[in-house]
Amino acid sequence: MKKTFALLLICLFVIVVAGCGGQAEKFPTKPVTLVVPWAAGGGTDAIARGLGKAAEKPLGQTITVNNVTGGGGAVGHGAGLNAKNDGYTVTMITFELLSLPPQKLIPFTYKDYDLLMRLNTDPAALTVKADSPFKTVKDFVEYAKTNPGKVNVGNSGPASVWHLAAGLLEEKAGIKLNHVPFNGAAPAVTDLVGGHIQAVTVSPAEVQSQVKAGQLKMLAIMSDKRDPNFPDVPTFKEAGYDITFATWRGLAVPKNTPENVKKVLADAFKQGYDSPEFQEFAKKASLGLAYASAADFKTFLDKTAADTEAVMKKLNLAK
Amino acid sequence: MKKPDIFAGILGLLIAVYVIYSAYHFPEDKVLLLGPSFFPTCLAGGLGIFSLLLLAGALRGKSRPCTDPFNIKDPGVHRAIISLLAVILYCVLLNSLGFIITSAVYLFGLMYLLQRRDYLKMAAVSVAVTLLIYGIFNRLLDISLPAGFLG
Amino acid sequence: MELDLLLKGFGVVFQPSCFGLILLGTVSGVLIGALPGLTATMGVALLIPFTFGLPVHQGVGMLLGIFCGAIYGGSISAILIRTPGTPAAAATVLDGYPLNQKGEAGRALSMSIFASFVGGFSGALIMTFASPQISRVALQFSAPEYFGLAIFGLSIIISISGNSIVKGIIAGFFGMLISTIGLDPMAGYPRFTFGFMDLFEGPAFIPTLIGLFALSEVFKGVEVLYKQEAVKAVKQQLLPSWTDIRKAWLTIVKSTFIGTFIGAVPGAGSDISAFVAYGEAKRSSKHPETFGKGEITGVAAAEAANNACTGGAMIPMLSLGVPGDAVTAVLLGALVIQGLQPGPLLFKDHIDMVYSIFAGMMTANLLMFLVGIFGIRFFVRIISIERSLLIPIIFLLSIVGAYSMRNSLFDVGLAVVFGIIGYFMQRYDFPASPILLSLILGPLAESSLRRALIVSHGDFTILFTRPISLALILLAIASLITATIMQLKLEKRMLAENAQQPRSGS
Repeated sequence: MKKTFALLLICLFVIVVAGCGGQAEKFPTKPVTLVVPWAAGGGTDAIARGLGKAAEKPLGQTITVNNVTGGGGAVGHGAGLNAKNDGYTVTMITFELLSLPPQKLIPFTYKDYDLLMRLNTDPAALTVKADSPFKTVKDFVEYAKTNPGKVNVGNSGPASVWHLAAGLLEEKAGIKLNHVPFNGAAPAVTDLVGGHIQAVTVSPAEVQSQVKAGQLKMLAIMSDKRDPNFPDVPTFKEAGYDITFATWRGLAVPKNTPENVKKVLADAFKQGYDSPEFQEFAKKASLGLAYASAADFKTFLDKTAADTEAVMKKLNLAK
Repeated sequence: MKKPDIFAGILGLLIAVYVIYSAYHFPEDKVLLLGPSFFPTCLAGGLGIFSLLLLAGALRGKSRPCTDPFNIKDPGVHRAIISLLAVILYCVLLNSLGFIITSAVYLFGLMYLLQRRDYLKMAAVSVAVTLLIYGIFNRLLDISLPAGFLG
Repeated sequence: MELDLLLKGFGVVFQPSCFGLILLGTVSGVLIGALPGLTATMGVALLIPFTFGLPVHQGVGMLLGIFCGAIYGGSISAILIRTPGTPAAAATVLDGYPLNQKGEAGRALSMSIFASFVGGFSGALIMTFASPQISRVALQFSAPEYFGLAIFGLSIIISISGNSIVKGIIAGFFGMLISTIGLDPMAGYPRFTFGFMDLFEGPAFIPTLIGLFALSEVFKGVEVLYKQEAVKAVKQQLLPSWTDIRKAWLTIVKSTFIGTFIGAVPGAGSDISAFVAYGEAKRSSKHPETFGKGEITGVAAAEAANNACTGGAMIPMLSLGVPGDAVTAVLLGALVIQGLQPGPLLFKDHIDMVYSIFAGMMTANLLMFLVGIFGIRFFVRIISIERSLLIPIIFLLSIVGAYSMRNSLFDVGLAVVFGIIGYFMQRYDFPASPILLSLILGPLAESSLRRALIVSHGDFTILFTRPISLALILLAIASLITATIMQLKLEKRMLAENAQQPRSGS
C-alpha cells in the first residue's frame, strides 16, 4: 500500500513538474527562423518575407528568413523537418512536398510535419495565344481529341505543379497532349507568345500581363470560383469539366512540437496574415490568399496528395 | 609528362565506362524520345575516345615534357598535400566548431605553411580577417555562417 | 516625343534623393559583385525589402544601380584573385588573371571598367530606342535557336584549350558530364546524384567555379611560394591607354551588340553572352593565340558583353513581361510588388515610368563608370598585400563565397573537391576554362535539344529548317574547323620550340 502510494505520489509529481515545465517556459524567447526552400527573390520568398515582417509584432520576436535552397525544394523541406521541434524553426512548405515523394526523391511527406496553416493557393489556368483558333475549353479539347499528342502544352518543369495540372486536364477530359517542360513558367510563357507552343497551364498571375495586353487568352481556370482579376474567364467546372487544381503554400513545424508553442506560432502568424500591411502586399503581388487552419489544411492536403500521386502515375512520373 | 598522361587517360576511360554503364540503367522515356541517358552517354563516349587518344599519345611517347614533375620529396608538394588534407579536416570541423574558430586556426596554419614566422602578426591577422568576414556576411548581408557551439 | 519623355525621365532620376539612391545602389552593387559568392541576383533580391518603403522610381533606381554595379564588380575579383565575383565575370578570368600575373592588373582593371561602361551604357541606349524591335526578334528564339546558340558557344572550347587540344576536349567533356549531374531537365530523373539531395539541381555553379579557380590557386600558391613577393609597383591608370582602346574598340562594339541581344533573349544571361562574345573576339582576331594568355581584347569582349546584357535583359522584361535573365526575374517581382505590371501595357499606362527606368539605367552605368575609375586605386591594393597574407584571405573568401550561395556546408565541401581536382588539373596541363564553359552551356544545349525534339515530335530537321538556328549551327561548325586548324598549328609550333630548347623541370 505504501509502495503504491509512493508510486502515485511520484507519478503526480512528475506530471506536475512536466506540466509546469511545459507551461512555465515562455515562448518565444529568441528569434524564430523561417526556412524557405526556394531562392531569395522568388514568389515563395516574397510571401515569407512579407508575412515574417507582419508577424514579428504579434510574436514579439524577430523572424529571420533563411533560404535553404536546392534539390527542387527537397533540401529546404528536409532542413525544416529535421530542425529541433522547439518551435524556433518554422518551414514554409510548398506544393513540391506532394510531388517529390511519389518520385521517391525524398523519404518524407507532409505527414511528417505538424501543420500550422495554409496561406495561399494559386490555381492553374489554360492559356492560349490570343489569335489561336481555340475560343473555349471545348474547342481545345475537341481538337486534342481528334489530334492526340499533337498539341504542345508548356509547363514549368518535369513533375512541376503546372505539368501535373496539364496531366490532370488530359485525364479528366480524356485527351492526349504533348507536354513540353521548360525551366520555370516564364520561358514557357515566352514560347507561347512567340507561337512556338500552343498552350500553357500556369497560374493566372504568371500570364496576366500578356493576357491584359491582348497577346494571350485565358480559356478557363482550375478553381471553384472565378478569379476577381479575370471575371470573364470561366472555371473548368462551368465549362463542363470537373477539374480543380492549385499550387499552395503553408507553414509547418517539425513533428511533436509542443501544443502551446504551436498555438503561439499559429496565433502570431494568423495575426500577421490578417494585418492590413500583409493583405495589401499580397494584393499587389497578386497572390491568391487562402487561409486554412491546421485541421482544414490537413484535409486539403490529404485530397490533393491523392490527386497528385494519381496524376503522376498517369504521367509516368511516379515510381 | 608520360606517367600523368597515362594515368589521366585511364581515369577518363574509367569515368566514361562508369557513366555509360549507369546511364544504361536509366529509365527510357517513350514520350520524350531522347531520355535522360542520351546526353550522358554521348558525352561519355566523347570522353572515352579522347582519353584513348591521350593514352595512345602517351604510350607512343608523344607526350610533351613535364614542366613541373610531381616529386613526392619536394617540400612544395608536401606543403600542398598538407594544405589539401587540412582543408578536408576544416570542412569536417566547420559545423561543430563553428566558422570563427575553425577559420582562424586554418588561416594561421596556412600562413605557417607559407613560411611566415611572425607569430603575433599571424595570429592577429587570422583573427581579424575571420571576424571581419564573419561580420560582413552575418550582420551586413544576413547570411548566417555556421556558428558552431558558440551559437 | 521619345526624347521628350527621356528628358522627363532624367528629370525624375536627377532629383537628389533618387540620384543618391542610385549611387548607393551602384556602390553596393560593385562591392557585392566583387565579393565571391554574392551574385547580382542575390544582391538585388537581398535589397528588395529595403525598397518597399520607397517611391517606385527611387526603389527601382537603386535596384538598377545594384544590377549594373554587380555585373561590373564581378570582374574585379576575376582579375585580381582569379575568382569571378559573379558568374557573369567567368569569361573575364580567362585573360584578366593572366594580365594580373604579368603585373598588368591596372591595365586589365581600367579596360574592364571602360568596356563595362561602353557596353552597359550602349546596352541601355539600345534598350531605350529599340525595345519593341528587339523583343520581336527575341520572340523568334525557341528551343532550336537556343540549341544553336549553345553549340556556337561550346565551339570555342577548342580555342581555349591551352597547350593541348586533346586535353582541352577531355576537360570539356568532363565539364559537360558534371553538368548532367542532378535532376534531368526534361524527365526529372535523378542522374549521378549518389543519393545527395543537394545534388538534385546539379553541383551549384558558384562553388564549383570557386573550387576550380580560386581554391586550386590557393593550393598552388602554398606549393610554389611565389618567389617574387607581391607585384609592388602596379602601374595605376584610370583609363585604358589609347593603344589599348584602338586595339579593342571594334571588339567592344561587336560585343555590345552580342551582349544586348543575348540578354534580350529570355533564357540566356550575362554569363553566356560573355563567353559568346569572347569566342567571337577570338575567332575574328588576327592573333587568336594570344587569347587566354593575357589578351586585353579578351577582357574587353567579356566585360562589354556582360554589361550590355543588363540593358538587353531589361528589354523583354519591360516590353513583354518576361524576364531576360535571373536578375531581371527578381526585378520583375520587385516591380509587381510596387504595383507595376511589366509587359506591353506598361508602355501604354506608365510610359513615364518606363522612361525613368531607361534614364535610371543610363545613370546607373554612368555612376558605375565613375565609381569604377575612382575605385581602381583601392582595388589594386589588394594584390600589393604580401602573398603569404593574401592567399589565406583568398581562401577564406572562397569558403564563405561557396557557402553563402545556398547557406550550405555541402557546397563548401563541393568547392573543396573541385579545388583539389582543379589543382591537379592545373599541375598536369589540363585547362580549367573548358569545364567552366561546359558548365554554363552544357545544360542549355541538352535541355534545348530535347525540348526542340519534343516540340517537333521527334523530327530532327527542326534544327536545320529554321533560319536562325541553321545560321548559328553553321557558324559553330565554321568556328570549330578554323579553331581546330589553328590550334593544331599552334601545338606543332610549340612542340618544335620545345624540341629546340627542352625546358628543364623545376
